[in-house]
Amino acid sequence: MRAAAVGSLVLALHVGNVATARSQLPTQIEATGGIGLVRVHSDLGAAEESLRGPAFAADAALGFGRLGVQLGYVRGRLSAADSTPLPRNVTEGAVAITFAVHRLLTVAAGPRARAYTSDVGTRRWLMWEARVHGEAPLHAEVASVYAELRGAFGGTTNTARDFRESRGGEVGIWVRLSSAVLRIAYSVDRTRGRDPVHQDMIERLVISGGFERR
Amino acid sequence: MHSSRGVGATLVVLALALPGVAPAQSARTLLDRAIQAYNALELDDAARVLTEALSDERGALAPADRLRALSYLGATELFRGRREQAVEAFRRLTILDARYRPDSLIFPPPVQTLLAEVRQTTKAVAVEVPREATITAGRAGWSIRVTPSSAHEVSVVVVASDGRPVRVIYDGTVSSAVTLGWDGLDARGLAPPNGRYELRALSRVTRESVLRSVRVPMTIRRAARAVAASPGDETMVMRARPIRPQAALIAGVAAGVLTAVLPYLVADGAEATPARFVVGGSFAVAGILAFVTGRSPPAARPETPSRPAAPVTDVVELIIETGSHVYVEGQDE
Repeated sequence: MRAAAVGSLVLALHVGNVATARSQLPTQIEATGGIGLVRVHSDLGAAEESLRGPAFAADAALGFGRLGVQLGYVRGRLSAADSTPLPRNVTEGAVAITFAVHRLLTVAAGPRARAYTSDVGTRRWLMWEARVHGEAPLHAEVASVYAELRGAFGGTTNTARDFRESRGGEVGIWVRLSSAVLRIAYSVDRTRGRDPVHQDMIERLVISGGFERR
Repeated sequence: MHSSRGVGATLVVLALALPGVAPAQSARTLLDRAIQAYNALELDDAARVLTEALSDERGALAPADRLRALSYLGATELFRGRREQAVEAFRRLTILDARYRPDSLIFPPPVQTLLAEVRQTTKAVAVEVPREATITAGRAGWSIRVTPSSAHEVSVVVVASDGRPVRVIYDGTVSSAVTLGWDGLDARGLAPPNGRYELRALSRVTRESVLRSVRVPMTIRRAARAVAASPGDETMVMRARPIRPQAALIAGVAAGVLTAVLPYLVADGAEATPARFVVGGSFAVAGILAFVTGRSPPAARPETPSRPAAPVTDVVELIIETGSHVYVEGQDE
Protein backbone atom coordinates (compact mmCIF):
# COMPACT_ATOMS: atom_id res chain seq x y z
CA MET A 1 0.00 0.00 0.00
CA ARG A 2 2.83 2.29 0.86
CA ALA A 3 4.47 1.68 -2.47
CA ALA A 4 1.23 2.27 -4.23
CA ALA A 5 0.80 5.52 -2.42
CA VAL A 6 3.97 7.05 -3.77
CA GLY A 7 2.76 9.94 -5.82
CA SER A 8 3.30 13.17 -7.48
CA LEU A 9 3.90 16.28 -5.56
CA VAL A 10 2.18 19.45 -6.40
CA LEU A 11 2.18 22.80 -4.72
CA ALA A 12 -0.95 24.74 -5.41
CA LEU A 13 -3.44 27.22 -4.33
CA HIS A 14 -6.47 25.85 -2.66
CA VAL A 15 -8.78 28.15 -0.89
CA GLY A 16 -11.77 25.92 -0.45
CA ASN A 17 -10.11 23.95 2.27
CA VAL A 18 -8.61 26.97 3.87
CA ALA A 19 -12.03 28.50 4.31
CA THR A 20 -12.75 25.89 6.90
CA ALA A 21 -10.37 27.68 9.21
CA ARG A 22 -13.00 30.16 10.27
CA SER A 23 -16.03 28.01 9.95
CA GLN A 24 -16.64 27.63 13.65
CA LEU A 25 -16.94 31.33 14.27
CA PRO A 26 -20.36 32.97 14.57
CA THR A 27 -22.25 34.76 11.86
CA GLN A 28 -19.87 35.79 9.18
CA ILE A 29 -19.21 36.19 5.50
CA GLU A 30 -15.79 35.44 4.20
CA ALA A 31 -14.24 35.48 0.77
CA THR A 32 -10.63 34.80 -0.09
CA GLY A 33 -8.53 34.18 -3.11
CA GLY A 34 -4.91 33.74 -3.99
CA ILE A 35 -2.27 31.77 -5.71
CA GLY A 36 -0.11 28.80 -4.89
CA LEU A 37 1.44 25.64 -6.10
CA VAL A 38 -0.06 22.21 -6.63
CA ARG A 39 1.83 18.96 -6.87
CA VAL A 40 0.16 15.79 -8.13
CA HIS A 41 1.38 12.23 -8.35
CA SER A 42 -0.72 9.60 -10.07
CA ASP A 43 -0.02 5.90 -9.82
CA LEU A 44 -1.80 4.20 -12.67
CA GLY A 45 -0.42 0.75 -11.96
CA ALA A 46 1.49 0.40 -15.19
CA ALA A 47 2.85 3.95 -15.03
CA GLU A 48 3.36 6.83 -12.72
CA GLU A 49 2.93 10.50 -13.45
CA SER A 50 4.29 13.48 -11.57
CA LEU A 51 3.23 17.00 -12.37
CA ARG A 52 3.27 20.35 -10.74
CA GLY A 53 2.27 23.86 -11.51
CA PRO A 54 0.75 27.11 -10.37
CA ALA A 55 -2.89 27.47 -9.57
CA PHE A 56 -5.52 30.04 -8.79
CA ALA A 57 -8.24 29.53 -6.25
CA ALA A 58 -11.13 31.29 -4.59
CA ASP A 59 -13.58 30.44 -1.91
CA ALA A 60 -16.47 31.81 0.08
CA ALA A 61 -17.96 30.94 3.41
CA LEU A 62 -21.21 32.01 4.97
CA GLY A 63 -22.04 31.18 8.55
CA PHE A 64 -25.05 31.65 10.79
CA GLY A 65 -24.14 30.74 14.29
CA ARG A 66 -23.27 27.08 14.38
CA LEU A 67 -24.30 26.36 10.82
CA GLY A 68 -22.44 27.41 7.74
CA VAL A 69 -21.85 26.79 4.07
CA GLN A 70 -18.50 26.70 2.32
CA LEU A 71 -17.70 26.90 -1.35
CA GLY A 72 -14.27 26.28 -2.78
CA TYR A 73 -12.75 26.36 -6.22
CA VAL A 74 -9.24 25.79 -7.52
CA ARG A 75 -7.83 25.56 -10.98
CA GLY A 76 -4.26 24.87 -11.92
CA ARG A 77 -2.11 24.13 -14.91
CA LEU A 78 0.11 21.14 -14.33
CA SER A 79 3.15 20.02 -16.25
CA ALA A 80 5.93 17.51 -15.76
CA ALA A 81 9.62 18.16 -15.66
CA ASP A 82 10.11 16.19 -18.86
CA SER A 83 7.91 15.96 -21.91
CA THR A 84 5.84 13.09 -20.51
CA PRO A 85 3.25 12.90 -19.17
CA LEU A 86 1.15 15.41 -21.05
CA PRO A 87 0.38 18.75 -19.40
CA ARG A 88 -3.10 18.99 -17.95
CA ASN A 89 -5.41 21.21 -16.02
CA VAL A 90 -6.65 20.33 -12.57
CA THR A 91 -9.98 21.74 -11.49
CA GLU A 92 -11.47 21.15 -8.10
CA GLY A 93 -14.67 22.31 -6.47
CA ALA A 94 -16.06 21.62 -3.04
CA VAL A 95 -19.25 22.42 -1.16
CA ALA A 96 -19.76 21.66 2.50
CA ILE A 97 -22.31 22.23 5.20
CA THR A 98 -20.55 22.96 8.46
CA PHE A 99 -21.67 22.59 12.05
CA ALA A 100 -19.71 24.02 14.96
CA VAL A 101 -19.76 21.46 17.74
CA HIS A 102 -17.61 23.65 19.93
CA ARG A 103 -15.83 26.92 19.49
CA LEU A 104 -12.70 24.97 18.60
CA LEU A 105 -14.23 22.05 16.77
CA THR A 106 -16.28 21.94 13.59
CA VAL A 107 -17.62 19.05 11.56
CA ALA A 108 -18.59 19.35 7.92
CA ALA A 109 -19.87 17.23 5.09
CA GLY A 110 -20.33 17.71 1.38
CA PRO A 111 -19.18 16.78 -2.09
CA ARG A 112 -15.81 17.44 -3.63
CA ALA A 113 -15.21 17.06 -7.35
CA ARG A 114 -11.83 16.96 -9.02
CA ALA A 115 -11.00 16.69 -12.69
CA TYR A 116 -7.74 16.31 -14.59
CA THR A 117 -8.14 17.43 -18.18
CA SER A 118 -5.57 16.85 -20.90
CA ASP A 119 -5.63 16.60 -24.67
CA VAL A 120 -6.47 12.92 -24.46
CA GLY A 121 -9.38 13.08 -22.04
CA THR A 122 -10.65 13.91 -18.59
CA ARG A 123 -10.24 11.90 -15.40
CA ARG A 124 -12.88 12.74 -12.81
CA TRP A 125 -13.38 12.03 -9.17
CA LEU A 126 -16.45 12.82 -7.12
CA MET A 127 -16.20 12.24 -3.39
CA TRP A 128 -18.67 12.68 -0.56
CA GLU A 129 -16.58 13.82 2.34
CA ALA A 130 -16.85 14.22 6.07
CA ARG A 131 -14.47 16.61 7.78
CA VAL A 132 -13.33 17.28 11.31
CA HIS A 133 -11.74 20.65 11.85
CA GLY A 134 -10.01 22.01 14.94
CA GLU A 135 -8.66 25.46 15.56
CA ALA A 136 -6.53 27.06 18.26
CA PRO A 137 -5.84 30.78 18.69
CA LEU A 138 -2.25 31.88 18.88
CA HIS A 139 -2.33 35.56 19.59
CA ALA A 140 -5.46 37.46 20.54
CA GLU A 141 -7.54 37.84 17.41
CA VAL A 142 -4.56 38.23 15.14
CA ALA A 143 -3.37 34.68 14.54
CA SER A 144 -4.73 31.16 14.77
CA VAL A 145 -3.67 27.71 13.63
CA TYR A 146 -5.99 24.98 12.46
CA ALA A 147 -5.91 21.36 11.40
CA GLU A 148 -8.41 19.30 9.47
CA LEU A 149 -8.80 15.62 8.69
CA ARG A 150 -11.24 14.46 6.06
CA GLY A 151 -12.34 11.22 4.55
CA ALA A 152 -14.78 10.17 1.87
CA PHE A 153 -17.70 7.95 2.73
CA GLY A 154 -18.55 7.47 -0.91
CA GLY A 155 -17.51 8.48 -4.35
CA THR A 156 -17.41 7.79 -8.05
CA THR A 157 -14.85 8.05 -10.80
CA ASN A 158 -14.86 7.72 -14.55
CA THR A 159 -11.59 5.82 -14.58
CA ALA A 160 -11.49 2.13 -15.39
CA ARG A 161 -11.47 1.33 -11.66
CA ASP A 162 -14.26 1.89 -9.21
CA PHE A 163 -13.84 4.40 -6.42
CA ARG A 164 -12.27 2.89 -3.33
CA GLU A 165 -11.32 5.59 -0.83
CA SER A 166 -10.21 9.15 -0.34
CA ARG A 167 -8.71 10.80 2.67
CA GLY A 168 -6.74 13.89 3.38
CA GLY A 169 -5.77 16.59 5.79
CA GLU A 170 -4.81 20.18 6.05
CA VAL A 171 -2.83 22.35 8.44
CA GLY A 172 -2.76 26.09 8.24
CA ILE A 173 -2.45 29.42 9.90
CA TRP A 174 -4.50 32.51 9.39
CA VAL A 175 -3.63 36.07 10.21
CA ARG A 176 -6.36 38.62 10.56
CA LEU A 177 -5.92 42.37 10.57
CA SER A 178 -9.18 44.21 10.89
CA SER A 179 -11.38 42.66 8.20
CA ALA A 180 -8.46 41.47 6.05
CA VAL A 181 -7.46 37.82 6.22
CA LEU A 182 -4.23 36.16 5.19
CA ARG A 183 -3.81 32.38 5.18
CA ILE A 184 -0.99 29.93 4.63
CA ALA A 185 -1.93 26.28 4.41
CA TYR A 186 -0.56 22.93 3.47
CA SER A 187 -2.89 20.10 2.49
CA VAL A 188 -2.62 16.63 1.07
CA ASP A 189 -5.29 14.27 -0.27
CA ARG A 190 -5.02 10.75 -1.57
CA THR A 191 -7.71 9.23 -3.75
CA ARG A 192 -7.67 5.55 -4.72
CA GLY A 193 -9.54 3.31 -7.08
CA ARG A 194 -10.15 -0.38 -6.56
CA ASP A 195 -7.72 -3.01 -7.59
CA PRO A 196 -5.68 -2.84 -9.74
CA VAL A 197 -4.12 0.22 -8.23
CA HIS A 198 -5.08 3.64 -9.41
CA GLN A 199 -4.13 6.40 -7.07
CA ASP A 200 -3.88 10.17 -7.16
CA MET A 201 -2.15 12.14 -4.47
CA ILE A 202 -2.46 15.88 -4.52
CA GLU A 203 -0.56 18.32 -2.33
CA ARG A 204 -1.22 22.00 -2.10
CA LEU A 205 0.68 24.90 -0.62
CA VAL A 206 -1.59 27.88 -0.42
CA ILE A 207 -1.18 31.55 0.25
CA SER A 208 -4.38 33.49 0.02
CA GLY A 209 -5.91 36.73 1.14
CA GLY A 210 -9.37 38.15 1.41
CA PHE A 211 -11.84 39.76 3.70
CA GLU A 212 -14.40 38.81 6.24
CA ARG A 213 -17.44 40.50 7.70
CA ARG A 214 -18.83 39.43 11.00
CA MET B 1 -70.13 47.64 5.68
CA HIS B 2 -66.43 48.17 6.01
CA SER B 3 -67.02 51.73 7.13
CA SER B 4 -69.36 50.74 9.94
CA ARG B 5 -66.92 48.06 11.09
CA GLY B 6 -64.10 50.61 11.08
CA VAL B 7 -66.07 53.07 13.14
CA GLY B 8 -66.99 50.33 15.57
CA ALA B 9 -63.43 49.17 15.94
CA THR B 10 -62.27 52.74 16.48
CA LEU B 11 -64.82 53.23 19.23
CA VAL B 12 -63.75 50.01 20.91
CA VAL B 13 -60.12 51.03 20.76
CA LEU B 14 -60.91 54.45 22.15
CA ALA B 15 -63.03 52.94 24.89
CA LEU B 16 -60.19 50.64 25.88
CA ALA B 17 -57.58 53.37 25.66
CA LEU B 18 -59.40 56.12 27.54
CA PRO B 19 -59.21 54.54 30.99
CA GLY B 20 -55.45 54.32 30.59
CA VAL B 21 -55.14 57.90 29.48
CA ALA B 22 -57.41 59.39 32.08
CA PRO B 23 -55.16 58.96 35.14
CA ALA B 24 -52.27 60.67 33.41
CA GLN B 25 -54.45 63.56 32.43
CA SER B 26 -56.08 63.83 35.83
CA ALA B 27 -52.76 63.73 37.67
CA ARG B 28 -51.35 66.39 35.40
CA THR B 29 -54.53 68.43 35.86
CA LEU B 30 -54.20 68.09 39.61
CA LEU B 31 -50.62 69.31 39.41
CA ASP B 32 -51.67 72.35 37.40
CA ARG B 33 -54.46 73.08 39.90
CA ALA B 34 -52.02 72.73 42.79
CA ILE B 35 -49.55 75.13 41.23
CA GLN B 36 -52.35 77.65 40.68
CA ALA B 37 -53.33 77.29 44.33
CA TYR B 38 -49.71 77.71 45.42
CA ASN B 39 -49.34 80.87 43.37
CA ALA B 40 -52.58 82.16 44.88
CA LEU B 41 -51.16 81.37 48.33
CA GLU B 42 -53.98 78.90 48.95
CA LEU B 43 -51.44 76.64 50.60
CA ASP B 44 -53.83 74.17 52.24
CA ASP B 45 -55.53 73.47 48.92
CA ALA B 46 -52.17 73.23 47.18
CA ALA B 47 -50.84 70.70 49.71
CA ARG B 48 -53.97 68.59 49.50
CA VAL B 49 -54.04 68.48 45.70
CA LEU B 50 -50.31 67.85 45.42
CA THR B 51 -50.54 64.97 47.86
CA GLU B 52 -53.42 63.55 45.83
CA ALA B 53 -51.50 63.85 42.57
CA LEU B 54 -48.41 62.22 44.05
CA SER B 55 -50.32 59.40 45.69
CA ASP B 56 -51.48 57.99 42.38
CA GLU B 57 -50.10 54.47 42.62
CA ARG B 58 -50.33 53.95 38.88
CA GLY B 59 -47.60 56.51 38.42
CA ALA B 60 -49.67 58.79 36.28
CA LEU B 61 -47.26 61.67 36.78
CA ALA B 62 -44.37 61.70 34.41
CA PRO B 63 -40.94 61.70 36.12
CA ALA B 64 -40.38 65.39 35.43
CA ASP B 65 -43.86 66.26 36.73
CA ARG B 66 -43.27 64.16 39.82
CA LEU B 67 -40.15 66.19 40.56
CA ARG B 68 -42.09 69.42 40.08
CA ALA B 69 -44.87 68.19 42.35
CA LEU B 70 -42.42 67.27 45.10
CA SER B 71 -40.65 70.61 44.89
CA TYR B 72 -43.97 72.48 45.13
CA LEU B 73 -45.09 70.21 47.94
CA GLY B 74 -41.89 70.87 49.91
CA ALA B 75 -42.23 74.60 49.44
CA THR B 76 -45.92 74.52 50.32
CA GLU B 77 -45.35 72.57 53.51
CA LEU B 78 -42.48 74.86 54.49
CA PHE B 79 -44.67 77.92 54.13
CA ARG B 80 -47.45 76.13 56.03
CA GLY B 81 -45.03 75.79 58.93
CA ARG B 82 -44.82 71.99 58.57
CA ARG B 83 -41.05 71.66 58.32
CA GLU B 84 -40.96 67.91 58.84
CA GLN B 85 -43.33 67.33 55.95
CA ALA B 86 -41.29 69.72 53.82
CA VAL B 87 -38.11 67.82 54.63
CA GLU B 88 -39.80 64.55 53.71
CA ALA B 89 -40.94 65.92 50.37
CA PHE B 90 -37.45 67.20 49.59
CA ARG B 91 -35.94 63.90 50.71
CA ARG B 92 -38.13 62.05 48.21
CA LEU B 93 -37.19 64.62 45.62
CA THR B 94 -33.46 64.12 46.26
CA ILE B 95 -33.69 60.35 46.05
CA LEU B 96 -35.56 60.54 42.76
CA ASP B 97 -33.06 62.96 41.25
CA ALA B 98 -29.98 63.99 43.17
CA ARG B 99 -29.21 66.52 40.46
CA TYR B 100 -32.44 68.45 40.92
CA ARG B 101 -32.12 72.14 41.60
CA PRO B 102 -35.29 74.24 42.07
CA ASP B 103 -35.83 77.31 39.95
CA SER B 104 -34.74 80.30 42.02
CA LEU B 105 -37.26 82.51 40.21
CA ILE B 106 -40.10 80.35 41.51
CA PHE B 107 -38.87 79.28 44.92
CA PRO B 108 -37.49 81.86 47.34
CA PRO B 109 -34.24 81.44 49.33
CA PRO B 110 -35.79 79.63 52.33
CA VAL B 111 -36.89 76.82 50.03
CA GLN B 112 -33.49 76.70 48.37
CA THR B 113 -31.79 76.59 51.75
CA LEU B 114 -33.94 73.78 53.11
CA LEU B 115 -33.45 71.68 49.98
CA ALA B 116 -29.68 72.21 50.23
CA GLU B 117 -29.80 71.01 53.83
CA VAL B 118 -31.79 67.95 52.84
CA ARG B 119 -29.30 67.15 50.09
CA GLN B 120 -26.51 67.20 52.63
CA THR B 121 -28.25 64.68 54.88
CA THR B 122 -29.89 62.53 52.20
CA LYS B 123 -27.22 60.49 50.50
CA ALA B 124 -28.30 59.51 47.00
CA VAL B 125 -26.98 59.50 43.50
CA ALA B 126 -28.39 60.22 40.08
CA VAL B 127 -27.27 57.87 37.35
CA GLU B 128 -27.24 58.72 33.67
CA VAL B 129 -26.47 56.06 31.08
CA PRO B 130 -27.16 55.81 27.35
CA ARG B 131 -30.42 54.13 26.39
CA GLU B 132 -28.49 52.12 23.83
CA ALA B 133 -24.82 52.01 23.07
CA THR B 134 -22.41 49.79 21.19
CA ILE B 135 -18.98 49.42 22.71
CA THR B 136 -15.89 47.40 21.98
CA ALA B 137 -15.17 45.20 24.95
CA GLY B 138 -11.83 45.95 26.52
CA ARG B 139 -11.42 49.21 24.67
CA ALA B 140 -14.07 51.91 24.56
CA GLY B 141 -15.90 52.76 27.73
CA TRP B 142 -19.61 52.67 28.38
CA SER B 143 -20.27 56.07 29.88
CA ILE B 144 -21.90 56.28 33.32
CA ARG B 145 -22.56 59.72 34.77
CA VAL B 146 -22.95 59.67 38.55
CA THR B 147 -24.08 62.78 40.40
CA PRO B 148 -24.29 62.66 44.20
CA SER B 149 -26.67 64.67 46.32
CA SER B 150 -23.66 65.38 48.54
CA ALA B 151 -20.31 63.75 49.15
CA HIS B 152 -20.54 60.13 50.26
CA GLU B 153 -19.31 56.62 49.59
CA VAL B 154 -20.61 55.18 46.34
CA SER B 155 -20.17 51.80 44.72
CA VAL B 156 -21.07 51.27 41.09
CA VAL B 157 -21.39 47.61 40.18
CA VAL B 158 -22.62 45.56 37.23
CA VAL B 159 -24.46 42.50 38.51
CA ALA B 160 -25.92 39.48 36.76
CA SER B 161 -29.61 38.65 36.84
CA ASP B 162 -29.00 36.36 39.80
CA GLY B 163 -27.36 39.15 41.78
CA ARG B 164 -23.84 37.87 41.26
CA PRO B 165 -21.35 40.75 40.89
CA VAL B 166 -19.92 40.88 37.39
CA ARG B 167 -17.69 43.90 37.69
CA VAL B 168 -17.07 46.62 40.26
CA ILE B 169 -16.73 49.79 38.23
CA TYR B 170 -16.17 52.22 41.05
CA ASP B 171 -15.89 52.05 44.79
CA GLY B 172 -15.04 55.21 46.66
CA THR B 173 -16.06 58.70 47.63
CA VAL B 174 -17.98 60.83 45.16
CA SER B 175 -18.26 64.51 46.04
CA SER B 176 -19.36 65.94 42.71
CA ALA B 177 -20.57 64.72 39.36
CA VAL B 178 -18.22 62.16 37.86
CA THR B 179 -18.23 60.25 34.59
CA LEU B 180 -17.19 56.62 34.87
CA GLY B 181 -16.45 54.19 32.08
CA TRP B 182 -17.06 50.46 31.85
CA ASP B 183 -15.01 48.57 29.29
CA GLY B 184 -17.58 45.77 28.94
CA LEU B 185 -15.46 43.16 30.71
CA ASP B 186 -16.14 41.22 33.86
CA ALA B 187 -13.73 40.84 36.76
CA ARG B 188 -11.84 38.10 34.89
CA GLY B 189 -11.32 40.29 31.86
CA LEU B 190 -13.93 38.50 29.73
CA ALA B 191 -16.89 39.91 27.89
CA PRO B 192 -20.00 38.64 29.71
CA PRO B 193 -22.39 36.39 27.80
CA ASN B 194 -25.60 37.72 26.35
CA GLY B 195 -28.27 38.28 28.92
CA ARG B 196 -29.93 40.58 31.40
CA TYR B 197 -27.85 42.50 33.89
CA GLU B 198 -28.25 45.41 36.24
CA LEU B 199 -26.15 48.45 36.92
CA ARG B 200 -26.33 49.30 40.62
CA ALA B 201 -25.17 52.55 42.14
CA LEU B 202 -25.07 52.01 45.90
CA SER B 203 -25.02 54.90 48.36
CA ARG B 204 -23.19 53.80 51.50
CA VAL B 205 -22.61 55.07 54.99
CA THR B 206 -19.93 52.51 55.59
CA ARG B 207 -18.63 49.65 53.49
CA GLU B 208 -21.11 47.28 55.09
CA SER B 209 -24.12 49.57 55.22
CA VAL B 210 -26.07 50.47 52.09
CA LEU B 211 -28.54 53.33 52.44
CA ARG B 212 -30.17 53.04 49.06
CA SER B 213 -29.41 52.20 45.49
CA VAL B 214 -30.32 53.12 41.97
CA ARG B 215 -30.74 50.14 39.70
CA VAL B 216 -30.70 50.31 35.94
CA PRO B 217 -31.76 47.17 34.04
CA MET B 218 -29.35 46.32 31.25
CA THR B 219 -29.56 43.96 28.32
CA ILE B 220 -26.20 42.99 26.90
CA ARG B 221 -25.79 41.21 23.62
CA ARG B 222 -22.95 40.81 21.23
CA ALA B 223 -23.09 42.71 17.99
CA ALA B 224 -23.34 40.73 14.75
CA ARG B 225 -19.59 40.89 14.47
CA ALA B 226 -19.22 38.47 17.35
CA VAL B 227 -22.72 37.32 18.20
CA ALA B 228 -23.03 33.90 19.71
CA ALA B 229 -25.20 31.28 18.09
CA SER B 230 -27.80 31.62 20.78
CA PRO B 231 -28.18 33.98 23.73
CA GLY B 232 -25.75 33.07 26.45
CA ASP B 233 -23.91 30.58 24.31
CA GLU B 234 -20.45 31.54 25.41
CA THR B 235 -18.84 28.48 23.93
CA MET B 236 -19.19 29.90 20.45
CA VAL B 237 -17.36 33.13 21.14
CA MET B 238 -13.79 32.14 20.76
CA ARG B 239 -12.55 35.68 20.52
CA ALA B 240 -13.86 36.68 23.92
CA ARG B 241 -11.46 34.38 25.68
CA PRO B 242 -7.96 35.11 26.83
CA ILE B 243 -5.20 33.03 25.30
CA ARG B 244 -2.67 31.40 27.54
CA PRO B 245 0.88 31.67 26.19
CA GLN B 246 1.54 28.01 26.95
CA ALA B 247 -1.51 26.97 24.93
CA ALA B 248 -0.41 29.12 22.01
CA LEU B 249 3.05 27.53 22.12
CA ILE B 250 1.63 24.02 22.14
CA ALA B 251 -0.80 24.84 19.32
CA GLY B 252 1.88 26.35 17.10
CA VAL B 253 4.38 23.56 17.62
CA ALA B 254 1.69 20.91 17.20
CA ALA B 255 0.61 22.49 13.92
CA GLY B 256 4.22 22.45 12.73
CA VAL B 257 4.72 18.80 13.63
CA LEU B 258 1.38 17.85 12.10
CA THR B 259 2.35 19.54 8.85
CA ALA B 260 5.49 17.43 8.70
CA VAL B 261 3.77 14.11 9.39
CA LEU B 262 0.48 14.73 7.59
CA PRO B 263 1.48 12.76 4.45
CA TYR B 264 2.30 9.77 6.65
CA LEU B 265 -1.09 10.00 8.33
CA VAL B 266 -3.27 10.28 5.27
CA ALA B 267 -1.15 8.96 2.41
CA ASP B 268 0.69 6.04 3.96
CA GLY B 269 4.02 7.83 3.99
CA ALA B 270 3.96 8.85 0.39
CA GLU B 271 6.88 10.95 -0.70
CA ALA B 272 5.75 14.47 -0.01
CA THR B 273 7.18 17.85 -0.75
CA PRO B 274 10.01 18.99 1.53
CA ALA B 275 8.48 22.46 1.35
CA ARG B 276 6.01 21.35 3.96
CA PHE B 277 8.82 21.47 6.54
CA VAL B 278 9.27 25.17 5.82
CA VAL B 279 5.55 25.74 6.21
CA GLY B 280 5.36 23.65 9.37
CA GLY B 281 8.40 25.42 10.75
CA SER B 282 6.70 28.77 10.24
CA PHE B 283 3.69 27.52 12.23
CA ALA B 284 5.97 26.48 15.08
CA VAL B 285 7.78 29.81 15.01
CA ALA B 286 4.43 31.58 15.15
CA GLY B 287 3.56 29.58 18.26
CA ILE B 288 6.87 30.45 19.86
CA LEU B 289 6.38 34.13 19.08
CA ALA B 290 2.89 33.99 20.55
CA PHE B 291 4.33 32.40 23.68
CA VAL B 292 7.05 35.02 24.03
CA THR B 293 4.79 38.00 23.40
CA GLY B 294 2.04 36.55 25.56
CA ARG B 295 4.41 36.31 28.52
CA SER B 296 5.47 39.93 28.19
CA PRO B 297 3.99 42.18 30.87
CA PRO B 298 1.22 44.43 29.57
CA ALA B 299 1.91 48.13 29.26
CA ALA B 300 0.77 50.17 32.21
CA ARG B 301 -2.44 52.09 31.73
CA PRO B 302 -4.75 54.13 33.92
CA GLU B 303 -7.06 51.99 35.97
CA THR B 304 -10.18 52.81 37.85
CA PRO B 305 -9.68 52.14 41.54
CA SER B 306 -11.51 48.83 41.54
CA ARG B 307 -10.31 47.47 38.22
CA PRO B 308 -8.51 44.15 38.45
CA ALA B 309 -5.73 43.24 36.06
CA ALA B 310 -7.46 42.02 32.92
CA PRO B 311 -5.96 39.39 30.68
CA VAL B 312 -5.62 39.98 26.97
CA THR B 313 -8.91 39.56 25.14
CA ASP B 314 -10.02 39.68 21.55
CA VAL B 315 -12.41 42.15 19.99
CA VAL B 316 -16.03 41.75 20.99
CA GLU B 317 -18.61 44.39 20.28
CA LEU B 318 -21.38 44.66 22.83
CA ILE B 319 -24.75 46.31 22.45
CA ILE B 320 -25.97 47.59 25.80
CA GLU B 321 -29.58 48.65 26.23
CA THR B 322 -30.90 50.09 29.44
CA GLY B 323 -34.34 50.34 30.99
CA SER B 324 -36.09 52.54 33.52
CA HIS B 325 -34.33 53.33 36.78
CA VAL B 326 -35.52 51.65 39.94
CA TYR B 327 -34.90 53.19 43.36
CA VAL B 328 -34.43 50.81 46.25
CA GLU B 329 -34.20 51.81 49.88
CA GLY B 330 -32.04 49.95 52.34
CA GLN B 331 -29.49 47.19 52.28
CA ASP B 332 -28.63 45.53 49.03
CA GLU B 333 -29.75 41.93 49.05
